[in-house]
Amino acid sequence: MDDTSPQFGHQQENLLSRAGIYELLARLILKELDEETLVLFESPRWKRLFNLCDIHPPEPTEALVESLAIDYCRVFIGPNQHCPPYQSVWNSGQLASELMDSMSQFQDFIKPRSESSIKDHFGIQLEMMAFILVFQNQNPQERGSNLAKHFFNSHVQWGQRLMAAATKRSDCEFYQKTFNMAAKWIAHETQHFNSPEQAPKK
Amino acid sequence: MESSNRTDQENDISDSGPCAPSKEDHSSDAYSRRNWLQLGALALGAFGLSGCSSKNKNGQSSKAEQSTTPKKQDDGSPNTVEDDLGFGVDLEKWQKGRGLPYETGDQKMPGVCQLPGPGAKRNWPPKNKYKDAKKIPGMCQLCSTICGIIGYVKEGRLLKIEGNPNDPNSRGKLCARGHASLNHLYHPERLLFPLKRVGSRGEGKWKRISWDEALTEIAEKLKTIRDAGEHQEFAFHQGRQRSKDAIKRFLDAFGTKTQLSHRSLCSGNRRAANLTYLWESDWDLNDVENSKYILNFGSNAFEAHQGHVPFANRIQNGRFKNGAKMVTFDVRLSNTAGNSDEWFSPFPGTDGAIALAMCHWILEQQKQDNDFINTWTNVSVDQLKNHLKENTPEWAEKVSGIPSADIKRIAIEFANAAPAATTMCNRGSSAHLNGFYNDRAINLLNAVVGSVGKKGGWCWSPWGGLDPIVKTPEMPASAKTWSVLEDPPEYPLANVWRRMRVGEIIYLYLLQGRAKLQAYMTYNLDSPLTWPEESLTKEVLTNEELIKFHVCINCFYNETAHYADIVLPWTTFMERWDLDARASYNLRPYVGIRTPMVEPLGEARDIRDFFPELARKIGGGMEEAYQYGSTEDYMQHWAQKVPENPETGKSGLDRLLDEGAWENQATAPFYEPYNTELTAEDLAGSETDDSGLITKDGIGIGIQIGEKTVRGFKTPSRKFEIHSLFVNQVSKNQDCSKLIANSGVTKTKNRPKEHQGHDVDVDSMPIWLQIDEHEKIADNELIMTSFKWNVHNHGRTMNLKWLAEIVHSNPAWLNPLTAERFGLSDGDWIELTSYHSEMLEKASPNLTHGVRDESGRLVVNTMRVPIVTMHGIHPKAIAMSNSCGHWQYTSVAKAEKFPQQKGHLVGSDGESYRDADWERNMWWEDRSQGDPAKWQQNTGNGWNQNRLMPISPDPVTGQQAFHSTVVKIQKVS
Repeated sequence: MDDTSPQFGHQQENLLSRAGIYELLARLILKELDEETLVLFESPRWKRLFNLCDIHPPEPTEALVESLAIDYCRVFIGPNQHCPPYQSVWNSGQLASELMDSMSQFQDFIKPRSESSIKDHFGIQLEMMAFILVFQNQNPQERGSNLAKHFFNSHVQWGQRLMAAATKRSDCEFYQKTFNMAAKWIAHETQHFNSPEQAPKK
Repeated sequence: MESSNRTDQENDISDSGPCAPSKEDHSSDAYSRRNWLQLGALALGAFGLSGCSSKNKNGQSSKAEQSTTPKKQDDGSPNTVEDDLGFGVDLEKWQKGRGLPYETGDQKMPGVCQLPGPGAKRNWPPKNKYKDAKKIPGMCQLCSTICGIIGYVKEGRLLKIEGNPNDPNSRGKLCARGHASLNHLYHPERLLFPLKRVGSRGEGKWKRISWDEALTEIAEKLKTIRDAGEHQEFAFHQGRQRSKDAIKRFLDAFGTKTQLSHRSLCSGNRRAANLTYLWESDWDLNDVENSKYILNFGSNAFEAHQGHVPFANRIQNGRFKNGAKMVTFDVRLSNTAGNSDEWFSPFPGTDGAIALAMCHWILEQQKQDNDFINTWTNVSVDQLKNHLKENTPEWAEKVSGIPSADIKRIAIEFANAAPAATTMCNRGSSAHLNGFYNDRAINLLNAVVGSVGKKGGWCWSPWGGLDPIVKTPEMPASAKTWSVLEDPPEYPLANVWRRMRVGEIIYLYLLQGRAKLQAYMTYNLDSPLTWPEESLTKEVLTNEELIKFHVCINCFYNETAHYADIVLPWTTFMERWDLDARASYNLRPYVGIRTPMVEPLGEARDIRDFFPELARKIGGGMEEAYQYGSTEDYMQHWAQKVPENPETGKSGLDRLLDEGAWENQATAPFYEPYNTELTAEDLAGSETDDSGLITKDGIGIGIQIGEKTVRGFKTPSRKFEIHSLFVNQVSKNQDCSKLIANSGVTKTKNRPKEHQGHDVDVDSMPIWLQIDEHEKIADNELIMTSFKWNVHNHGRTMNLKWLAEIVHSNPAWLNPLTAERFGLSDGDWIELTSYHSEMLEKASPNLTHGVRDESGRLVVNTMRVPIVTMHGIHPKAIAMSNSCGHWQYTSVAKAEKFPQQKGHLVGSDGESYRDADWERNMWWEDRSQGDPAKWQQNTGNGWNQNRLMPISPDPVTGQQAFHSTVVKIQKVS
């Protein structure tokens, strides 16, 4: 079986590994990379695994942190021609559309760790997705529920478009490759969640 | 059309830098889910998320992670922490709600007008959209009219804005701008975080910073200026502002009086003309609702007059309920002109000549109000007749082109309708180099027919803003600095009664080295677009020597923000506090409230919120001006005198939050205030001189009229000052202390010592002044005029898609006769060359700048635009609307529908970005790139007229003469 296939190893895949990917992406999208995080990425294990994915984290220098911050700003903050990381913008062309109600409902029982006055920030949604997967790992009886699928389809899947756009918008190799990888990850997750075997078990 | 900014910006991201882009084609790189998952396994918990809680029924967590910083072992893998931080999945709630069909956000959202279609009636609007929505009052701020509004808020989101019927001035009416407030609040390109410039100024390269970092840096700069005693070198430059108290508090606490505004670009001449007659008010409030005859000189009240919504409402009531006739003189057939009973198109800048001729004819025909003139003005009928003897209708016909027979007829109709007859005017007459005199002449008509202050006549009120019953917490002492930017000595009436300032000269004076700015804070300002001479404005804003530090406070990244060093995201008017009111057409004061309807989005903050913090960071005593507690405490204090509503039992802020506005209806409308009799208490200790002037302790309080002692007008003569000794003398820097004392308006002062040597000859009587270059205008030249649409303000609405859809471009209007003369037809392009005023070059040599052409004339700029032919424009005029031609200010304002560069724009992208409005309705995108041969009519985002407009202040008041510019026309082949 081709390891790029969505079917590959789903039985073996650890829910926590998937949660970790959401956590990593949440960190990258919620805020600029700081020196401390780049130092972490410099450690041998991180570096090796990033390199396996053909991603090469920048060195933790002041100049690179600054460059990444500028690029992050260009991509997500603006002030113009950027890719606002808010689902409402991508679904409806404005901030805080009606899908905020849906986010509020989910946040009633999935409390994100990070705060944003705009609830449909993609980074927040990725955090929440990570929580759901960890939750399902901790509560085997919940693995058959539709929570993960429903949240993914409602509030994560759209991010594939954001990540594809961010890949083009970014001028930084690290971000380009990571966002590109993220877009593909979401595409695979979409197939995974919507495959027949993922239908909710009553 | 300028579109190079983005290209520069893109190119300036170096390909060889430390964060260089990948050269690979990402679509072909191998994606290994296995590798990716390994990375995921390592990442789990690295950023504090992995141990999310899943609370059981007792609220105890099974697992948790805490730490905001990555915790890692030596090999980089994370530690595990077992404490609950209260985030994660709540098992109990999940189990309770399991299986509910959580909405996916696919519902139709407010803010998108779905086009009518097969399912439109069935699906839109949702039946229960407004059910249980909370109604929260506020005040619009998308123009100067500040209409009362009500926001429908549900689940923390604003669903709709409508007019507030409790607002005594706007009476529940709201224009298209107000309805588009939702676009403003929820615009996808709003500024949400503080930004710091990282490239060179104007390059467009930014990074996000925290509010604390931003305020700390700003405080350091301002503290240095303050500590050096150079307070005046910190300038605050506002566009439309409605938080006067908050700005004044900060600037006074800092100690600078360099507060710059746009008033001279707007209404300086009209205000000065009113003040010359009245002193106590700069704003005539024409009582059109009770009028029988409305004579309009160049006001477009149905679209854009300050306070236009309440004004237009009352005009129509006057016409259709009270039978008033409305006659409009305007170079252009505005919507107001088109809806009048008669429209006349005079030669530009000749409104004053027509008005004087009407006065002449009324006097000639003995239709004047002798009693009013002789009693209540400071000239006699005979003096007035003598003064106007040359201003015959035939003379006016010669200069204006309006038939003398019509001038005579309308003059008599106006006089016959008096006292329920009023003039109205605005920028059409006042934004000229002779605008002060135009408006003086127009106002004179009301005195001649005796309609001044009468019901249905030409009225005013002393309440230009809030009912004085409300008082802010104690304000700091006023700053005492002086700056040539705030008080240019060349313009005698700019600041003598009110601080109108002369905004249009500031960038030129900086360029000339007449002032320095170490720090420049702009607020809701878009000067590169709205100020004359776009190129000069940009040049100065870019220059880091002339403006050393620029902080921009705005809701959007506009043309001003582009030249800032720090950009602070400002709250919209739906997210912040104010008490607000404007001069009300009810002729009595009121109090309205602007209140946060929803939480500010992102990290947007209002000055009421961050000025106290900034002041504390600057220190040195500034913090003492902010002892009032929170913003809400401040508002409570400010509104506490609003009396109780007996029906609801609510008073103060609670009442305003409930009703949105309060008007003291016990206050009588301000009719004939000059006839108000003085009380015994008023008169105690007073003296009356031979002229009847009553003073107390040397200060005028009234006038003896026959047997009556009355208040009179608050002028030096206590009469309606047709003859103003004051404007003549103060303009020559003569001592006017006695005149000021007699008026009782003791806040008025002589001009300061810095004005010495800058004497100007201002006529003490209403006259009309011929503009030199208009008199000798060549065949291939026209006079350029500007106008506003009913869906836009000058520089802040073209980003709102509902409004941009209605008006997005501004081809030049040309009369068909003119077009024929130039061999032009609809859609043809012309090249316009604009010139500085020759008359102004003589009157104000300090302004001389620019490049001379072969004939020696000073050229401002050239610009190519297409034309539309309209009968509704004078054959010697050319009109272009403002509002258009943005080169920043969101993709909506730029009419960019699809990405033109790599990456995706916030506008519309068929593949990825979904804005149904934008995709389906933005038909006007222009891809001609300025090539006239490829341009299609009604496409594009238009042209900034201010590329052509010269800096052109009326020498008397400093009002920018937007409508006097001579342009040469050439057909583009």
